[in-house]
Amino acid sequence: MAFLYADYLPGQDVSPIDSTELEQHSSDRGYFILSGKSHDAAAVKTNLNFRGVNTIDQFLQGTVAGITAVENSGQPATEITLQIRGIHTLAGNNQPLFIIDGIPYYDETDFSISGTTFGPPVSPFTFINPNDIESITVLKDAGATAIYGARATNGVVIVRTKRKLSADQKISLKIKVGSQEPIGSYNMANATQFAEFLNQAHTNAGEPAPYSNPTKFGVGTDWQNIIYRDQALRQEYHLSIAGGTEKISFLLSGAYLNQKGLIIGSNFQRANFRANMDAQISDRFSLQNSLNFGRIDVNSVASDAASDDSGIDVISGSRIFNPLLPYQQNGAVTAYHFIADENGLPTPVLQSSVAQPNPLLLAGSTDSKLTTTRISNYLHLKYDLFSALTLHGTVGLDGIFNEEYAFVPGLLFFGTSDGLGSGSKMEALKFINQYYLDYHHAFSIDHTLNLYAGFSTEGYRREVLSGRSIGFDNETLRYYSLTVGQQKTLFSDISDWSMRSFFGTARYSYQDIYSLSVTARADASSTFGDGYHLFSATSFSYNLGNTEVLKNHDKISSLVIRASYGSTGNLAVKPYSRFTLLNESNSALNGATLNGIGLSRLGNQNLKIERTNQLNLGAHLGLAKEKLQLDLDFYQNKTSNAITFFPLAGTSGFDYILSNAASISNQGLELSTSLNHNLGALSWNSQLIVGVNKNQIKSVENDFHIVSGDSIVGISGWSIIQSGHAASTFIGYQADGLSVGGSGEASFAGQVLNSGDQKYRDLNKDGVINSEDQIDLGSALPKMTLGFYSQWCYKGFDLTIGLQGAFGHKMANVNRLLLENPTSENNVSVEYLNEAGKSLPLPRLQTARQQYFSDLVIENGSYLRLKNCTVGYELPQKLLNRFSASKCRVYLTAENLLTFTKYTGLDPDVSHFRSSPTQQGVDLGSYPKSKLIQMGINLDF
Amino acid sequence: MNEKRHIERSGININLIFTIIFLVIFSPHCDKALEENPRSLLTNKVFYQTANDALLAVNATYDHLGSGTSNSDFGGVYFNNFWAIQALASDEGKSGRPEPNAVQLSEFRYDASNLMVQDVWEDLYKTINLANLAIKYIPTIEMDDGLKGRFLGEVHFIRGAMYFDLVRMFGDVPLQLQPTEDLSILSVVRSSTEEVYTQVIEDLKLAERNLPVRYTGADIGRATTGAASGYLARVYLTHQEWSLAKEHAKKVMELGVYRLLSDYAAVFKIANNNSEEVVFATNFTLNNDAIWETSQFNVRALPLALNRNSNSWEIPTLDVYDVFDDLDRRKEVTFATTFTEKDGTVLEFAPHIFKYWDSVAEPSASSGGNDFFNLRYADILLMYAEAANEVSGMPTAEAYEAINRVRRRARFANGEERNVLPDLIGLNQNEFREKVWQERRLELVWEGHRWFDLKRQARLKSRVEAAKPGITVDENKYILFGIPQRERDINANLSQNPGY
Repeated sequence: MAFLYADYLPGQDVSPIDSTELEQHSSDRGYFILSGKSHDAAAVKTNLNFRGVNTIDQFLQGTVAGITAVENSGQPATEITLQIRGIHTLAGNNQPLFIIDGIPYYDETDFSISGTTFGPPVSPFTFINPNDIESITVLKDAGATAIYGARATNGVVIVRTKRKLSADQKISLKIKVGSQEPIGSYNMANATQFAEFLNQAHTNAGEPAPYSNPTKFGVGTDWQNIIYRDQALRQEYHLSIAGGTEKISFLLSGAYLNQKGLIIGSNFQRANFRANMDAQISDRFSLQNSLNFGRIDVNSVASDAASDDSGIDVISGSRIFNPLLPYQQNGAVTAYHFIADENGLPTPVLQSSVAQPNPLLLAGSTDSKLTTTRISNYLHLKYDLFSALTLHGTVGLDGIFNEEYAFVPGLLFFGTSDGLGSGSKMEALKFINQYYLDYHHAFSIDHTLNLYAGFSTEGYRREVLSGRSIGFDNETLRYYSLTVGQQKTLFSDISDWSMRSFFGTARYSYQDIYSLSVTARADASSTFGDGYHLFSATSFSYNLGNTEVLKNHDKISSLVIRASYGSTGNLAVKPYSRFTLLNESNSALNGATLNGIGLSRLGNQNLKIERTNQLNLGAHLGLAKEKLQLDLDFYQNKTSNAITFFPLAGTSGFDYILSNAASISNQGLELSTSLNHNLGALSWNSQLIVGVNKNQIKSVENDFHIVSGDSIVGISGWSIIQSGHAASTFIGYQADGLSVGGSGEASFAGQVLNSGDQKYRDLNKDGVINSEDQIDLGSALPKMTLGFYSQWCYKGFDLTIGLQGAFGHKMANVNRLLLENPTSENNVSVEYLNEAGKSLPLPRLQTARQQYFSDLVIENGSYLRLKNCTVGYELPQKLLNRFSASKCRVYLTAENLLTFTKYTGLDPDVSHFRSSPTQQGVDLGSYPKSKLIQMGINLDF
Repeated sequence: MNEKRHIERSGININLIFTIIFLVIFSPHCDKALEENPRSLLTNKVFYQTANDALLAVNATYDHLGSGTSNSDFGGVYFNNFWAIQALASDEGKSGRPEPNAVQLSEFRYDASNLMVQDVWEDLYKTINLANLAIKYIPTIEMDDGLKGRFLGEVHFIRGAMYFDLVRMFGDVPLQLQPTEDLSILSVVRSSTEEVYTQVIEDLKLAERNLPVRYTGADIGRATTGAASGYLARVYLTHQEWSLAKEHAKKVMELGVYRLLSDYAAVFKIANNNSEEVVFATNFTLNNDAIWETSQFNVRALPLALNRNSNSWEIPTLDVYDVFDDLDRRKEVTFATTFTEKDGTVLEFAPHIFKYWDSVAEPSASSGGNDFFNLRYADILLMYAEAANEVSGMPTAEAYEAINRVRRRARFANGEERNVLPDLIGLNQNEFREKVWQERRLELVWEGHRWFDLKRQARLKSRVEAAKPGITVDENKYILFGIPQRERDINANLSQNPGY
C-alpha cells in the first residue's frame, strides 16, 4: 500500500519491494502477519531509504501515520522515543515491540549502566545495520497486534532483514562519506556585551562598575564554537554478497560506520556482520538461519545535563561560560568558579548556585567510553506435515556484552583534587523457543480457512558488575586501575525475566470479499507472577473491490472497509517491581561505618499487566490502478489500569507505590495517501501521512492530582497526572512582568520582591503566590504528526525530499532558566539583554536566584522539518558494462537542512527525560543535532 | 496405488504422532522460571531470620536519624531540616538564601505546604516504620535474650524519640505502631496528644529498663539507659511534671558516666564525638569513604564567603549573637565573623555559626564530622535546675550547683578562667527560672531545641518579635506546625491544626 524507497528507485528496471512481496513474506512468517495487500488491518509498511541514519528506529519518524518519534538528543546513536497512537502507561514503557526476523527484539534500553558513562543512553537498535533491512511493517490496531498479547499495546514493528539481493545482483557495495555541522547555536552575549551588562548590573545594585573599558575585550571567547570539532566526518561502508544454489542461498553483509561527534570527545563507531542463510533440506523440510553481529564503540561527553540535574554539562556550559575568560592562562586551563578581573584575567570567586566548569576542559579532559557487542542467532525450521499443515519451530539466542569506563580528572571538582573513575561490565542473554502449526485450507473457491496456533518460551538474564573509585593521587592510570583511587564502591546485580505464551489465530474468508479473524494469546510473565492472562481480538474486513460491482470498475481499483476490536497488554514495568525491597544503609557510629538494612520500596503484590481495549475502524481506497491510494483509520484505545507511581501518605513510611491507579484514553485519526504517477520519462511518487491523537487521563484513583517532574535546574514538580488532562502536562506559574519594587505585589510567602525581579500572577487573589496559582501550561504530546515524502525521477536523475513535523504541543525550553539567569560568572543570551534593556530597571544581578517553572519557559513546540533531501544519478548501463558493473548510482544526501518553527531553542525535536511518559517535551543542554551532508555511491556487480 | 496411499497416510500419521510428542515435550509447563527470584535484591521474604539481621534492622533505624543513606528521600531526621527549622522558626536563626520554604519559616509566614516541615514529618515516620518493623520481627528471631532485649530497647527508644518530636511539633498525630507491609493500614486518623505521650513514655520506659549504662568499642554511641532517662526528663519537663522531670534528670546525673568537658570548645571537636558529655547523639563521621555519613552543618551554615563548600543557608540572628557577653567562651566558639586562612588572608562576614566546624580536623569543611547532639549533659543539668526550682518553689542548693557548673565551664578558655558569668546565688524562683532559660539559650544555640523551648516557655511570639523586627507571629497558629498538605491530600481522615 505504501511504496518503499529501496536502494534503487521505483520506475527503473529493478522494482522496489512492494506489497506483493510482503505477502510472500507473510507465508513464511515467523508470526502471522496480516499482509499489506489485504488492507485488513491498520498495518503500514514504512519507507526505507538511503538517509544518513544510524538506527532503524529513525526510519519511523515521519513515515507512518500515528507514530510520534522524538530524536532525544544529537549525540550519535542516541535512543529515540517512539509512541504509536499515544501514551498508554504512566510509569513504564511506551516503546513498541520490535520483532526482528520473527523474534521479539528485547527492548532492554537500559543496558547502559547508569552513572558510568556520560550522555544519554545509546539506542538498542544500534546493533542492526539499516542497510540490511528489507522491510519494516508497523502494526497498530488490536486486530493485528493481539497475537503479541501482553506486549502489544504500544504497537508492533515487524522488521525483516534481507535474505537475497535482487535478481542479477551478486555483490553490492555502498559508500557514504560526509560531514556534519551543528543545527544551530544560541546567540550569547560576546565579551564586550557581557562586560557592559555586568557594569550596568553592578551600577543598578549601587556598586562600582567592574570594567572601565568593556570594548577592549572585543568578542572574547566564543565557547559555543570552541567545543566543536573543525571537521566532523561521517563515513559508512557496506558490502554485501549474495549467492547460492537452487537449494541453498545466502547473504553475507559487513559494514563499518565511523561518525565523529560534533563535539570534541564524542565519537561513534560501529562494525556489523550479518549472515543470512536459507536452505531447502528436503521436499518437506527447510530452514532459515539469521546471524547478526554488531559491535559499537562510543565515546561520549557530558551532554543533556546528564551528570546531574544542575545543568552542568558541556552544552549548557558552552553557552553560559564567561566569554571574558581565555581558555588558557599562562599554560593553566581556566577550570571553575572564575570571574574576569578588570583585565579579563581569571579571578577565583565564591561558589555560585550554577557553577559551570570550563566546557572545553569538560569535553576534552573527561573520558567516557562504552563498548558493546551484541550477537544474535535465530534458526527457523519449517516442516510440511502435509500440504495444508506446516510445523514451524524457532530457536533464538541473543547476547549483549557491554563494558563501560569513565574518568573525570580532579581538576573538574570544586574544592577538592579528587578524580573519579568508574568501570562496569554487563552481560545479558536472551533465549526464545517458539513452535507453531499453520493450517491453510480452501474448502472451495468461496471458502478459505487459515488456522495458526503455537506457543513460546522466552527467558532473559542480565548480570552487572561495576566499580567506582574516587580520589586518585596519581591520575595517569585513570580507569585502567581503579585500585589507585582511595574510596572504592562496588555494585553487582542479577536480574531474570521469563515468559510463557500460547497463541493462535483463525481466519475465515469468503470469496475474498468478507474475512473474519479471531486472535488470542495467553501470556504468563514472571514480572507479575500471577499466571496466564488472555488477550484477544476480532477483526472483520469487507473488500468491496472484489465484489461484482467494483471488480472491473475503471476508476476504483480497490476498496476495503475494516474494523477490529480487542484487548492488548503492556508489561510496562521492570522485573521485581512487585517486591518490597530492603536496602543497605551506611551511616556512622563512633567514627566508623554502621551498616544496616533499611527499606527502600513498598512492594505491590497486586500489580497487574496493563490492559487496553482498542477499537479500529478503517478504509482503504485505491484509484486508477492503485496510482492513488488512500487509507483512513479511526481508533479509540482505552487503558483501564495504567501503572503509575501512586503517592502514599508519609505516615506509611513510604513516598510512593507502583499501582494500577489510572485509566487513559487515546483516540485519533490517521490518514495515509500515496500517489504514484508516470509521465513518460518522468515518474513521480509522493506520500503524505497525517496522524491526529488525543491523549487524556480519564481517571486517577481517589481523584488524586499526582505532581511529578524530576528536578531540573533545581526545580521539581512541574508535571501533573490528573484526570481530564493529557499525560506530560506541564504545570507552573504565569509570569506577570518585572517588579517595580515596593510592597503591594503578590509574591511567594517569604519572598521579598526587589525592583527587577520576576513576578507571577496571583490567580486566586489571596496575595500570596503558592501552588494554588499554578495552572495547566499545556501538554508536550503532539496533537498532530505529519510526514511527507516525494520523489521525482527523470531518466537517470532522481530527487527526493522528506518533510516531517509535529504540531499542537508545548516544549519546556529549560535552557532559558540558565541563559537568562545573570550572575557575575554566567553569560546571558543576547535576546535576554535586549529584552531586559527594554524593561528598565535591568534585572538585578543575583548570586542565588530562586527560579520557578512558569510559562516563561513554555513554548509552542510545533515544527516542520526538511528531514532529508537527496539528488541522485544512475550511471548509464553502457558505461557500467566497461567495469562489468550491473548498476551504479551516485547521490548527494542531506539531513536536517531546514526547520520551520517558532520554538526559540535550537531544536524542538528533543527530550531531556527521553521516553519518560510524564516528562516529555523538556529541552535542557541537548547535544545539538547535525546538518549532515553526505556523498554516496552504490555499486552492484 | 493403494499401497502408495497407504504409505502416504501412514506417513501423515507418523508425522502427526511425532509432532504431538514434540509439542508436548516442548510446550510450556508450570515451571519455576515464572516465579521471580530476585537474587541480587534484598526482599522482606529473606530478612529477619538471624541475630545479625536483627542488628542490621536496628542499625537502619539509626541510619534514618542521621545520614539516611537508605532513605529514598535522602538524609535522615537530624541530617538537616530538623535543626534548620528549630533555628529558623525561633529567635536564633534566619534564612540566608531566598529559598521560599526557609524564608517562610524564618518570617513566620509558613503554611501547611512548607516542604521543610513535610520532609521532617516524612523522615520521622520513615524512622518509626523501621522501628515498627524491628519491634514486630525481632521477637520472632531466635537469639540471645540479653541482646534481643537491648535491640528492642534501642528501637523503642528511637520510636519514642520520634513520636516525642512529632507530638511536640504537630500535636495530635497518627499513632502507627505496626509496620506498613501492604496498603491495608493507610487511612489512619490522628490520635490525641495524650495518647501519643502515653506511648512515648511507654517506649522510653521500656528502653530505660532494657538498655545498658554504657557500651564499649564499636557500639559506643548507641542509645543507653541514660539517654532514655534523659529523654523522659525532657518529656516530663515539657509536661511540667516537675518532680518526675527532676527525678529522671537526677537518675542520669547519678549514673556516674557523664560529665561536662572542661572547655566548651572541646565539646565540638570531632575527636570528642560521643565524649562523656554526650548522653545521646546522632552520629556522623569525617569518613571520606562515604560522603553521606557526614553532617550538613558546614555545608549549610558556614559562610559563603569562606569560599569552601559552604553556603550561608541558615544564619544566626543578631539577637542571639548580641545576647552573649563578649568574654563568654561560648560566644567565640559558637560564632565567627572573620576567618584567617593559612596564607594570612582574612575573610570577613556577618556572624555565622562556627561551633560545628572543627577547622583543624577538617580544614576543607567539605564534609561534616560533627555529631548532632540530641541530648548533652549540660542540658541534663539545666533541666534538673529548672525542675528542682519548680518542685521546691525556689532554687535549691543542688539547682544552683547544676546551673553554676554550666556557667563555670563557660568561664574557662584553654584552662584560663575569665571574669564573666559569676556563680548564681540568692535568686527567687522567678529570677532563677529566667536565668535557667537564658542559660539554656546560651549553652544550646542551634542544637535543635529553641522552638521547643520557646513554645514550652510560652514566649515564642514575644521572643521572635523582639529578635526579628517587623515580624508578627500569629500565636494561635504557630503554636503547632500544620499537618503537611500532602498528607491531607492523600489521607482525607486527617484534620488540620488551627490557623492552617
